[in-house]
Amino acid sequence: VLRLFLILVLLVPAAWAQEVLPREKAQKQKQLKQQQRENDIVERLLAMPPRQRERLLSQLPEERRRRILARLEVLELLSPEERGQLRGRFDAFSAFPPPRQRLLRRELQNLRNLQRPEVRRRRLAELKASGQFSEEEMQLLYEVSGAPPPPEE
Amino acid sequence: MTCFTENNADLLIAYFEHTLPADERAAVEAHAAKCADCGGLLAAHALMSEAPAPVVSTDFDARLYARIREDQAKPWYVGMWHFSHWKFAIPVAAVAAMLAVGVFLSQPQPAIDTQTKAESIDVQQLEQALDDLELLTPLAEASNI
Repeated sequence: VLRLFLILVLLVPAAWAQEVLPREKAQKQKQLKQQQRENDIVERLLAMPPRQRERLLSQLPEERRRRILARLEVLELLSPEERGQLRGRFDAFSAFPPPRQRLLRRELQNLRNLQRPEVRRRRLAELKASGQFSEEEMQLLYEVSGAPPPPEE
Repeated sequence: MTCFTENNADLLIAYFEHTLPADERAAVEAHAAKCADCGGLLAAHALMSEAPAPVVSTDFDARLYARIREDQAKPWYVGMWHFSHWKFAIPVAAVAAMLAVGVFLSQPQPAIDTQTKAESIDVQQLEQALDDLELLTPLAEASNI
């Protein structure tokens, strides 16, 4: 009986690893691909001639279309280096699971609403102390805020 | 004498056509009188000879040749519509159709060009990506987007 129990104890985690882990991995990859597609949409539109871009969006209501076109034009104005950095941040952001992305979006918006740099720095210090964001997530928040991360204690 | 049923058909036909010399004819009849098979054959032939022949109309030949001439006088394309001329074409057409279907199915589907792909853009996805890019733009620059 004990031997049987030991076999079961060993087999169950192995079966779980066989079944669940690949599924979770596949789900993560699917999610990453989805995020990459979203960014690819922007890249594709940026690569198009303006007339083709306008024709593509022509079915949209005027206001919505104009807003999208304006945002694309601003992205076009970025230097290749700035665009590369933005893309890098977007890819890093896309790699987080959707619940973490939602949290990050909320915090990024919150930081954006803080006008004064010292208030933003204080907020970032609070977030770091609270431990609610991982190292990578904090890195992203620092980069977007334009504030250098505090030296390690 | 060899039996009629054993490779002596020529002799039998000559007997029926009355072209055999009298002595051979007598030999055949003598053999048939002794052989049941050959006697049966001669009796069957005699029975058929007595049967009345169908009456053929007097102008049968004239009408037949007239019809042949009429067919020969028709233009070539009229005859082309006759089914017998197209019988050979049916299997050829079937094979050609199968080949055509095979070739069509083996062709790779034409790739959707960039423009068509782009036209399937999900606007909500696009707006979400633009929102995220805006959020991820460093604060000094973000105010522009």
